[in-house]
Amino acid sequence: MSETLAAHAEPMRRGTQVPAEAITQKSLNDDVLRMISKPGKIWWAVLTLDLIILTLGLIAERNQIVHGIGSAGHTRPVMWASYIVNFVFWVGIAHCGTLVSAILFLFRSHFRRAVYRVAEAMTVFGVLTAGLFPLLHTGRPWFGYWLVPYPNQRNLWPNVRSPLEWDVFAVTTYLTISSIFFIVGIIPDAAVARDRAKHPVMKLILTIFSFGWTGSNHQWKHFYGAYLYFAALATPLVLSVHSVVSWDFAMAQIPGWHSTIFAPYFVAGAIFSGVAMVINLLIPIRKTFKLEHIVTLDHMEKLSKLVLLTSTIVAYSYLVEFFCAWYGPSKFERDMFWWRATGHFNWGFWIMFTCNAILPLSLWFKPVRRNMPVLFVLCLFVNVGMWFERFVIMTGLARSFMPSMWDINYRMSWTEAAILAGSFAWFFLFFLIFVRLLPAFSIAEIKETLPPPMRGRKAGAHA
Amino acid sequence: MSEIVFNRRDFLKLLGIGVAGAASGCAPRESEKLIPYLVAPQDILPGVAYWYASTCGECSSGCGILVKAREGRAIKIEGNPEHPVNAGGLCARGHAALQGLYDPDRLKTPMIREGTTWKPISWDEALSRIAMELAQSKAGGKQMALITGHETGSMASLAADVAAAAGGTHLAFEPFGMDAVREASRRTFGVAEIPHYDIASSEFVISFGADFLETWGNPVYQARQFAEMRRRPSTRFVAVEPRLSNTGANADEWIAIPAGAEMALALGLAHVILADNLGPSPDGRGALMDAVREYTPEAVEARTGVPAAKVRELAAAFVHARPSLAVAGGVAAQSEQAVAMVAAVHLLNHVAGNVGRTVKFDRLMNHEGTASLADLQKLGEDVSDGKVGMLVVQGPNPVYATPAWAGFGAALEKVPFKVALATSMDETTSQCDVVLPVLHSLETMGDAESIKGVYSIVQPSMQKLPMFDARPAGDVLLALAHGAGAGSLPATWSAYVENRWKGMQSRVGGAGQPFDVFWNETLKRGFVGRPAAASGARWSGPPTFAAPELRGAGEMALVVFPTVNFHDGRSANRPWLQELPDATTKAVWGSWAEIHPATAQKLGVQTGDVVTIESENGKVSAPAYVWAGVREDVVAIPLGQGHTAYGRYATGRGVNPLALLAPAQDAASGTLAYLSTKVRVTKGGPAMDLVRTQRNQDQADREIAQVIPVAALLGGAAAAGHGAEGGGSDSHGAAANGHPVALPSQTRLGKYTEPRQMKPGEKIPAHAVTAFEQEHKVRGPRQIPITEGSYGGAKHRWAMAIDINSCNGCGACVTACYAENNIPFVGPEPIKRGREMSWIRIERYEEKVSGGPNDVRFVPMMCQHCGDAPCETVCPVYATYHNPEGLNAQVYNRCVGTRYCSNNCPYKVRAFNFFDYSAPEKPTFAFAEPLNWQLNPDVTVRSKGVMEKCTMCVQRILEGKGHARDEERELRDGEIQTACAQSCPAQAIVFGDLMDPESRVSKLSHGERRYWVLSELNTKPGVTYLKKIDREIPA
Repeated sequence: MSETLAAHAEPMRRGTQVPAEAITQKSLNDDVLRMISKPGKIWWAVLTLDLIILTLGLIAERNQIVHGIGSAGHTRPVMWASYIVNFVFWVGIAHCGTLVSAILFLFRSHFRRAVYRVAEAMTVFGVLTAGLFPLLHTGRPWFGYWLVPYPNQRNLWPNVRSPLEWDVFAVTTYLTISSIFFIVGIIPDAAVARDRAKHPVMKLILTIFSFGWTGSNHQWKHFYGAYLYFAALATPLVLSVHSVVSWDFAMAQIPGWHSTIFAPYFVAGAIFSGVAMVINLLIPIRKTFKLEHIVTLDHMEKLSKLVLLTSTIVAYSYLVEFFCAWYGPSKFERDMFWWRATGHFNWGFWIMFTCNAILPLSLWFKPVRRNMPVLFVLCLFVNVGMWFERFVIMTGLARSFMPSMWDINYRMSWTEAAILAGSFAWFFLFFLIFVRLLPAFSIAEIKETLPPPMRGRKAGAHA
Repeated sequence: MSEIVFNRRDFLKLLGIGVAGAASGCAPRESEKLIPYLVAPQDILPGVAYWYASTCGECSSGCGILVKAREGRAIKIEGNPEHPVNAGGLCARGHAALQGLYDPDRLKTPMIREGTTWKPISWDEALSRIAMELAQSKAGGKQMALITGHETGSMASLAADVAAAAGGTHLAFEPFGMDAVREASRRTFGVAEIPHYDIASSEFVISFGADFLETWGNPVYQARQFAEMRRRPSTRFVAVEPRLSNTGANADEWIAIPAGAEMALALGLAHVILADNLGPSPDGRGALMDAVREYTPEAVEARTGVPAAKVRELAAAFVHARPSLAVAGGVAAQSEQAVAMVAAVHLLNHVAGNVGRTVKFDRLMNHEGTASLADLQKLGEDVSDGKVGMLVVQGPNPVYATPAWAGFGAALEKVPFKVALATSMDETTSQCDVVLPVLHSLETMGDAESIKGVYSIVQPSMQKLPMFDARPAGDVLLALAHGAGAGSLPATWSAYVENRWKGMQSRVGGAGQPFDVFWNETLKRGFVGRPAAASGARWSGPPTFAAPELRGAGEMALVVFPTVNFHDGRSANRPWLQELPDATTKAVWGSWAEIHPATAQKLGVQTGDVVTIESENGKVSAPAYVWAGVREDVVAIPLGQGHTAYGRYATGRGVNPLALLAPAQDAASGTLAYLSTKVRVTKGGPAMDLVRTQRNQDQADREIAQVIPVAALLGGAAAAGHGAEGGGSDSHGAAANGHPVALPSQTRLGKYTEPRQMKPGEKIPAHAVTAFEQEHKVRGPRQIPITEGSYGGAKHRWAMAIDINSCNGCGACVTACYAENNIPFVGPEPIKRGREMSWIRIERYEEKVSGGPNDVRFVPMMCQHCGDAPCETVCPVYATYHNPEGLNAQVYNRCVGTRYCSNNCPYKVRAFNFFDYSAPEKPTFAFAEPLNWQLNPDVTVRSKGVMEKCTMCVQRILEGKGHARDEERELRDGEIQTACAQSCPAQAIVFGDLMDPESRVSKLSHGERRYWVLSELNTKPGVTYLKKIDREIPA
């Protein structure tokens, strides 16, 4: 009988990336739902630290609203700085989640099952974080609602020719769709957690999230129908939303910004930084909650291959930009790219290039891909590099058309640094709560890859 | 789900309560009242501006001004177009006079010093105390000394009368007095007058250190003349100075002469002219030749480093350009041989035949009776001898403006009783015993005669400011005189002035009229009279010449120079002037030391590093500014900063280089030798910042400032006299069919989709997708429903033409814009991050600055009002849009502050309100009471978070259109002027309507010198620039 079990296990292992150790449906439930237990001291300590940083960010923002954007480091000509960098950074990170959960679902890529929930959560929380910045970077955020087209007695409508207006539509669409996708997808797992929940508040919350799921065949049919539908709806957003965000820059005429490669370059970069962030989240989670058998090295290796792929696209984009600047007729563009590599902010450029194009080349080597500490550090560098990529784009403003405006250099202020840290704290706040509240791994989908529990079956029996 | 049963009655009750609740929640806002005048002042209409002709008192030029008053507050000063001194232009300091009037640090009450503190006292107490002291001083056989600034007209006469009545002396001390020039004239021409230099008629001007576009003479008048001269392509201007001043930056050639060697070069040129018989034969040729015999070209080369061949070339060109002109006498070149140097230049003019043509005595700057440093020192001696019992200071600040070795500060301490009549505390008044607040010239009656024969009116444009208990200086002086027993003098200042004018009436052509009529006519016009000529000016022989010697152990010559911003330091407490970037370095709110790159390399410093400059007499530290516009052996430091007690904006800011000066004076005239010292420069010093608005002066081939070779203009222009006005330039500017070439701001692309003037009979083809309505379909404003709009009926396209050949970089337009548009000043800290709020800036591009051919270009840059504006498409809320008259309009109320517009603007002309400059409770408040009285009520004061930029003074456009409509006529060209265009002394900015083919701006915009900045970006700007004329200088 062990023979048949082994025979039974083999094809599954090959096709479905499930680890060799026997996982039963119950053990899967136990392992995943163990995360939603009463939080321990470490979680509370991390949460407290997170709240402190968030408070600092809130104080900085309050100062900025009271005193004005002057608390940030903007200059003329660098009128967009770390806030827009953060905006693009967080929106970019968010794209990976939708790629993993929606696009890979449509492609029937099975390795995604173990990782997609964390990625989706990252998407939703990333968009929530990103959505803060278009408000708090404006001079008068209390009038931010003017960017929303609503009928008013003055007959004023926003300017739909402006890429910032497109951002409004793109980001709200993305937030809406990815939230719905997330909430719908988590229904069966929330139900499992609800059935086991003991604490009345938890039970209430999980009841809300599970929408009265009973697990009937009827419900499963509709669930998968809906899930497929939302996946299809979310798929084009992966490409469109970040393209629209990239057009904030590409539609301007500043040298270094006005470039047609921005849409694919940014989308690739978004996925690049998103996958790196997913890896950065998964490695501590799997280690802390001892889920290495669910999220295996194979899964991590597949993700790191995605990192490598997108890194090459991004590196290609850098090289193409330089080539076009050199080859093309615009001396403004040429001067600006030369300055990018050699001028005042060249340290940012070299950090970006090293972290994004050079360091990920190590992922060609399997030992690197399967080495978790190295992969973690590498992906941290990738995130730093991607932040600097947008920083380099932003500071390109310091070297645009008018020579009289050169050498007036931007320097990040404490307010900006506090708000940057605060944005990370905001994101991780959601994430910390999510991890303790809802199943962070898709129990339902992983279960599909396990051998079904047959009644009366003993180990080795095959009915 | 339970059903809520509702019947109709209950529903209606609930509805009613709900509405009532909602309505009661909306408490009516406390209504604010708009109370009209109960007893309206005569002739005052709220909302209408009243203009008063007066005279500017910021320096001794005495430009005629028109002061705009709204609701009893003076809010803007503009030049009086009819006044002979300035003809409508006004410099930055003139505009900033308003900040002197509204200075928050003005004295509020008379004060008496007790120990180290000041105690407020009443006027009566103060005046009686002064009278008592004066009586005591007289009783003790001592004199009273009255020190005023350089006064003319009634105040000069009053000062003399008061001094006589009180038994004392009157000194009119002017730190930048023209005593050396007058003495030189006396020795060479026999009259102690400042010649009238006719720059406009000259073909070749050489300046020996005279900063005639900045502070020397009548800068506004001279700037206008200079611009007129430079419009002729054949003219040439050579600057001879050790440090390239801003005046010199406008030269075709800079001769970087060693400090003090100017005289040798002037005499060398004269030598060549005389020796080679190049000029007209002057009388007394023998004596002249003797005087210049030793200044052969080779000897001059040895003394000055200027090659002998160059000396010969310059001399030949100088003589052959008829007429030519040499000027000398600026503060920076004033050495212990200042008179000799100016006399040498007079000799040069004489031998070149310029006297009577460009050097005339038909218009005389009135510097009668000014006291030099020597006179001040004599007073100091009298004080030491115990002869002076009381000192009254009204106006100048000698403790600041003279070096310590001159002894004025020490002398002041010895005087038993000192009175100051001042508007604010400064270094001198803070040493006095009693300080009396006096009215600012914008609040007083008076007159001035800055050009002999031209009597200008000073009249108050408003009641005196209520928060300062000040009185007219004239009243105070008269009270003093009466206290001393001068009963014959009138009781009040206005009576005194009136008496004088009654006496003058017939002399100035007012005979036969009742005095009141004559007086009112004069008040309206602002001045009477005509420039008087000096008689008997003729060459009286060459004086002796000697070169100055610089003293000190160091190797670097110290050049201290005045700036347009601060003059001798009197306008350092005006935040507009602190914020006006210096014309040369673009530095603000501080001082600097200019050094040559070779010196910098030796010291190991870069621009911004602090250096310490030391002489035997003192030591100052300042950030270095490294550029090739100073000689290697020269360090140059600006004058006017470094105040220790002069209000919140000037105190503790910058350094005063007078502390370094060696004791040296020009024996012939008694003036201070500013150029006298050798210093040592070392790296290091207390931490200071060099804050600059423009940190890069290299155009990097971007063609922001373009030139046109002189050959192109001299060859083709049929009407050479018009130069590049475009009048005779059909072959260059116009298309073959005679129609003017379409300007980029009048759209050509999108022929049927953008508004333009259609040719008669032209129809839009049916297939053209267009938003443009045809002429016959255009409806009046009332017929257009609010949901529609139409640009087809636009009658104007406002535009500007800026001639960078005329712009000399003075910055008057910048300050005028600050005054007109309520622009806040931000201080040095935000400017470190490029956050200055100016709507117009003068960009300075140095193409060639290292001795020899010189090319520095100034580009006034403001919003270009692009026809295809990059900023308009990217604003998400339409806060910036294109208005039907071609302006790019900024709607402050709609701006959310995303700043995308500024990012997309290629010219970077937009300014963002990073802080709240208009909130009184915040530290960034820029309008401390009473500076807020100056705010223009026609222009919004912007809050934080809002973007702003040049509006082409849309409020003035609307005012002009309104006047024309009221008078039921069309607008005339030139009727509407933006603040910058109005102020420019050189008339470099022209504003008008491009849709009027006869307007000046249309003609200039079609001229052969026209170009647009960054035109390859196809923004279709509404500002057309005219190229600078690049004159070819022989090597």
